Amino acid sequence: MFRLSLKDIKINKIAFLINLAFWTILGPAWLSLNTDLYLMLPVFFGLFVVMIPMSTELRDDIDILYNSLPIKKRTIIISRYISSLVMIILIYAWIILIGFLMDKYLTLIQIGLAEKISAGTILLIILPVVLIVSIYIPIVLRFGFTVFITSGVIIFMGVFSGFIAGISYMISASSPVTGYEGPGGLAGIIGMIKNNDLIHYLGKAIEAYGTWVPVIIILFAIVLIVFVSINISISIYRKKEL
Amino acid sequence: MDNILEIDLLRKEYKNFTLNDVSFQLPYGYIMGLIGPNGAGKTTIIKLIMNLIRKNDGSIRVFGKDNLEDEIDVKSRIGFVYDTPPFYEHLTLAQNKSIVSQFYREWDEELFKNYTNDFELDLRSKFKILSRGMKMKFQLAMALSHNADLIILDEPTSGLDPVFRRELLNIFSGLMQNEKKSILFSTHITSDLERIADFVTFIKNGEVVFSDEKDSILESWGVIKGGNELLEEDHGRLFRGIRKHEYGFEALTSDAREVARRFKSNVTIEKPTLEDIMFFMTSNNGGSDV
Repeated sequence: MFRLSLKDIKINKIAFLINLAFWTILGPAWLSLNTDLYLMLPVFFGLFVVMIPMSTELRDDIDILYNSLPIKKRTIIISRYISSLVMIILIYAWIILIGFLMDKYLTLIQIGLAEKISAGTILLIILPVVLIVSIYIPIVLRFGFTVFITSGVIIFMGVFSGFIAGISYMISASSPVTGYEGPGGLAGIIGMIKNNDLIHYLGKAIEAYGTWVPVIIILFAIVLIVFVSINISISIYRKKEL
Repeated sequence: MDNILEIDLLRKEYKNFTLNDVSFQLPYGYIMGLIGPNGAGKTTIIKLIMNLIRKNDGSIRVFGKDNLEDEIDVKSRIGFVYDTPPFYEHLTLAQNKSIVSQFYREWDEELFKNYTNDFELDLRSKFKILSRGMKMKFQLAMALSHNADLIILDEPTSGLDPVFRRELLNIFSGLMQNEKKSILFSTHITSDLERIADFVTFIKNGEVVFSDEKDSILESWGVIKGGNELLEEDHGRLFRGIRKHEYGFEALTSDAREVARRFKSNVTIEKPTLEDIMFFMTSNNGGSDV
């Protein structure tokens, strides 16, 4: 399984390196806009990390190759999830590292990343990534190349629209539930913004039960989403006619 | 005789095509040719053996094991050559090799190097720049380098030049020096099979028309030529794929001896080639009694 995942990462190292290079070079420009956007955009680009290997494999009939090797179908699917998630999370880690380095060494742009990032927000960053991967892989497996492109565009545009909505909403947002005034919207919902409703609830939960409770809840949600998606994908893949 | 491959009442249903209760066996140490016209079901059988598609019914046993229950073990001992070589187009041959080789415990790097040298493959070349022949050579080198006991080839010679086809057949003959290895070879280029096959299985419209030793088929079958008046008598059931013309008829028989006994010098009987058999059997009335 890990050999297959490693293979995916090796094969897609160019796409992966382009992503890293993009964030290294253009990071300061994004940073000058807003820290929250800076952390959100990888969802957008991370999708490419899933799309590129799957489109290559669909084009080259690679499923036939792997299914003729002594590998279980289950292993093929699980390794796809592992490699996709690992690549996207590595890109996130790189972006956060770049952000910290910029805070430390650049005087012109100061974003105060350390104050905005916590274990909870990192998990909340991972959650939408897991969600995207978990929705996208079964769709591609079930509907093939044409729908793969279409759904890619839809998910892509969905993330993009959410991103635009997030920007406009962040200008001014209020919550009648918590009485919160300030940034919110999609960007807030997915955890990029520290003062949104979800973070408020998490804050209250932390006060009531301690830090570990919400962290465990989010971890549980992530594991559950991946587990359900993997099983759907395996079921689809076993029925797939190559 | 122990069988390396046993297919029993295999069934696969599609909307417009059904592979209908296909059964045949391939003993250890032999080459079997799977022949039939396009769309007969050859590739479907191969895909079912490799579990690339799901069967509706029947059983497939390879090395005495169920191909689904012991999938990993079975596949580790099969060398598979597909009609369209499925490798990463943008990677080099060496990169493609390293992806595949790690999954075989029996991978023999020395053997692989020998094959790539023999086939004049440059491992630094990207897969996408290779010609069809070179792609097929690479796929073959991959399939033969993990000491597989059963080699399954789906139309490996189609689109290849005669020189390489002959080379390929020599390689297969060389492999058969090992009595434990067997080859299942699907093709519609029947002349290839006449050179190397021990057994021939003929598929038509998703059904096995015959599956027997090649020599026995070529001995017992015949191409009959005679006057049209013979067709008027009740001898029709001896003939298959009858082609009538002004001066007489041509047909195929699976019992050349019986035809010779009945018609004596009224007919001429020629030894058929596999191509003759395929041609007559795929004619409109081929395979059915007249």
